[in-house]
Amino acid sequence: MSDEQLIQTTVSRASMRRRLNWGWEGLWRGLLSGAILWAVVLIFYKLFPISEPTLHLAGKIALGLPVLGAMVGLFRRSNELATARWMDEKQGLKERISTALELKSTKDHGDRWTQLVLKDAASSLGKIDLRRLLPFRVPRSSRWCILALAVGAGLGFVPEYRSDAYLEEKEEADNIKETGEYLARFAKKQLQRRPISMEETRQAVEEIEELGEHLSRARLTRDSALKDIANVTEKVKEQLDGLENDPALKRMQRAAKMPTPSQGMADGQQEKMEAMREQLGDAADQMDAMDKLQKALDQLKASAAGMKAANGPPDPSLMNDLSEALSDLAEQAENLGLDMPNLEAAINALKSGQVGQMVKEMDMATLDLNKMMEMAKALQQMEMKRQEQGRDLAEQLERGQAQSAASRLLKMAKDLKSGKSTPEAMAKLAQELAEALKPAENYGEVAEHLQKALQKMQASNGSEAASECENAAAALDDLVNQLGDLDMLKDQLKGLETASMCIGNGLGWGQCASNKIGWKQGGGMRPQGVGTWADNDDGTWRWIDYSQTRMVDNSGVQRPDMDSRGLSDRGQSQLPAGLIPDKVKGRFSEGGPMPSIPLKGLSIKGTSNIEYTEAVSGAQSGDQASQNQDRVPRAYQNAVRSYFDDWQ
Amino acid sequence: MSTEEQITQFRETYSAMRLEIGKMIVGHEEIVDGTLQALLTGGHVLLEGVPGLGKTLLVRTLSEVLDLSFSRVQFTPDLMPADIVGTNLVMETPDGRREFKFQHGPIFAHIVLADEINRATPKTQSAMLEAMQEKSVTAGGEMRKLAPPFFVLATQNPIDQEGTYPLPEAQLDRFLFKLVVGYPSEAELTEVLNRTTEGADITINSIATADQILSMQQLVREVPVASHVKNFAVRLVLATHPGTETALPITDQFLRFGSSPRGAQALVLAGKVKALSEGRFNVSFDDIEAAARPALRHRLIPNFEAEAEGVTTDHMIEQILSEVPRNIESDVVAS
Repeated sequence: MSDEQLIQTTVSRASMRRRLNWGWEGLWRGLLSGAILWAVVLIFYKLFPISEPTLHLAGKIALGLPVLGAMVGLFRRSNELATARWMDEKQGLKERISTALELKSTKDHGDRWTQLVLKDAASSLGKIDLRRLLPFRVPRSSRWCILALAVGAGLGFVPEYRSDAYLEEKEEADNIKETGEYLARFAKKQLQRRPISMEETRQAVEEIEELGEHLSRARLTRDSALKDIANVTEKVKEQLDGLENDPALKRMQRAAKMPTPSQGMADGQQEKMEAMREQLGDAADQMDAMDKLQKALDQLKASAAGMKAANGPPDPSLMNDLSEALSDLAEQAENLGLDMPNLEAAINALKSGQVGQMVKEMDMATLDLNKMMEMAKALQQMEMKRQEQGRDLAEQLERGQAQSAASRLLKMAKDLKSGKSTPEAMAKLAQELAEALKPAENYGEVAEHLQKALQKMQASNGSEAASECENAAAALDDLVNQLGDLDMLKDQLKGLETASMCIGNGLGWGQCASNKIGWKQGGGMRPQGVGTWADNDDGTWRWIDYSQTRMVDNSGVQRPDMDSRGLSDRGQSQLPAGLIPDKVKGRFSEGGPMPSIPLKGLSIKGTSNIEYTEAVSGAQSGDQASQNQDRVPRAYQNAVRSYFDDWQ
Repeated sequence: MSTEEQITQFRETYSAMRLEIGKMIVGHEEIVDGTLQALLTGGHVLLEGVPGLGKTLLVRTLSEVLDLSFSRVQFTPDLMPADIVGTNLVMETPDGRREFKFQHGPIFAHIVLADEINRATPKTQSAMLEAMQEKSVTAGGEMRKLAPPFFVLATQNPIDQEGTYPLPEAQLDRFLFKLVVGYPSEAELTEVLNRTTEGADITINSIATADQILSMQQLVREVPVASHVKNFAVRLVLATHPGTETALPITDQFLRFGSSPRGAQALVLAGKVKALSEGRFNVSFDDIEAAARPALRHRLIPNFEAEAEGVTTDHMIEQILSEVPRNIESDVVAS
């Protein structure tokens, strides 16, 4: 290898090794910096209430610093000439290598001086051991690094110091955040669940969602959060009041509260009822007769059971009686319209002497009868419900059954469009529409559409009348949707009130809204009472069942009687009338002389040149001073005070 | 002769000269080295020191070591330029005619000792200027070249300043080095006593001829200097310029004027001689640094504040050397 190659190779290797060394040292420096940063931030975290995200950020930076240090070291700018100079300096080579490297690249290689310098440099480089020159060893900073890491690890076991005020504030902020999240989620779900017909309602729900997000993101105090909630609540309430005052919606609300089946169900039930009535026949309306039938059947069953129990041959007379009774029973059932084939089978079994079979058939007949009775009962209930449903459009509108009315109108429209209705049927429809006009007045434009529909019908214009009926149905549907909006707003209002209650009571949404039961430590205890009377957090665990108590928002309650500071005067003691003295020393008696009180320093007797007001204030201050110094007997104090006050 | 042989011979000659001078001069290695370096770079030396420290002896010994002509001029206030340079005299020829003939002054020698140069008037001192810079003398309207190598060694006494004429800056700048001769140490003084009070005469051998000196001077010029080493010399000189971007705080505070480019030349040339004398083929930072004090101390003009506070130029040079970095990033990038 020539001198030139030797220099080149050695310097290149040294340059690479130097870069790796920088990377290695950078790694340790980064580790040290990261460990110090982590320890310092951890100390701050233990002493001061810095946020956890800050701690996490510091942790991430601390983890990233060693990598960053290594990268900076590895990618540090350097070239061979710089390495050569560094080697010259490090090894005391008197700039041999750097001069050689420079001459090699700038001068003619055949130059005698260049050759001499290269040779000199090569011989110097031959003595250099790169591993010794650039060793990979753990730097000194590693000791400090281990110390900083140990401090950081040790601090992990030290509990954080947090003042009570801070903890309270944090809990409050967490509660507000949690409540805000739930409020936003609740509003969002409502928005997704069903389309909102009214723009104002949509805006209100969106505003609630925004409020929830604001509460969950911004750092608010309890007062400001409650204020924000109260603002939105007020708006929602206003809107709700407006909707609730709408007469049509009022009716519909009232109707909605009644357990009326929807129109779709009513149609299905009608068919079911007819099927049941067909099956039951006349018995459907004669529950008493069916009861009697059942009792008679039970008696016969008992007789038959006794006959079966007697092991001997059956008594013919008894069998005849039983047969006749059974025949009567079958006749009664037939008269009621009940189909009970098991009774006939029982009679036949009795005739053939099969007592056991007869009993079985009678059991089956009893079961059938019971079923029919239940069916009759159900039919009766369904009848009652159907009676609650408006029978015609007028009644439906009157009762606020908007959905049923809309369905009825659509059916009318269908009939009108078909054009197959007889004049009588048309007259009936017109009559129904005319009767519905008055109750429809509360439904806004529905009444107009019905009026027009009636006019068209009278003008024998069925298709246009149908169209008007459809319009009226659509208007009713709108009202139904508005009712849905109203319900949604109510739900939202409840949510807002719950949020307000949660924040006011210092509870999270989960505790406040879901009334969870479980063990809670100290702070989880609901404050009992008002203000300073609230229980202190003693850190003990208690079994909390929020469902057993009513949630009370006591945050805005003003109770002067509970003021812990100030008045201790409990007023005059009440004595029975007979025990009240009429002449007490020091107390004024009506008509009695005014007690004289010497006033120090100022005489108001005789002629005075001072102003009356000055005299009054002087006397009052003297009186006050005397009372303060307990120079006025306690019993006189009120009287004296009021006496001087009257001077004013 | 190959370059390597020339270098070897240079080193041997240099060592031999030092050895011979060392027979007469005890200690003062720095002064001896400085004098030889100035000789081999073609520069001149100003020796400063109190009387009796061997300044004149050094010059005389040097003249003996070198097989060169030597003349000594004792500078006094009444010394005239013609006394140094020479003058035209009316001379009678053998045939009885009279004609002007130039009588060469003492400056016409290879080695000139200008003893106590600051005692002559500026007019006389300036007579040395042309000779030192141009290596020629103009007298009677005729320029006469001085025989190479031409080497001026001037001495001056820092005490007893009454009746002296401090050398003008232009004159000072002509000196490659200003060497300050200090007191000998105890061992050195003992050795001086031994040599001077105990009989035996010391014989000084002549080591180098004029041609040898000239070839050595030529060789010195060929020594390569790396760019970053040159830059270091440049940065050192630039750092002495007050009121510039490159000036250091101490420069701005205590200097009135900084070094001229001759200072940088002196640093590099002296560094080359040092490298060769140590058997190296390139100049190092240490070589430049070693030459900094003698090459710059007489080129820096301190201001009143420095004089008032007793801050010497040597102190300033120390500070500059400690503050100016050897390697800088821009050198590497530029390379």
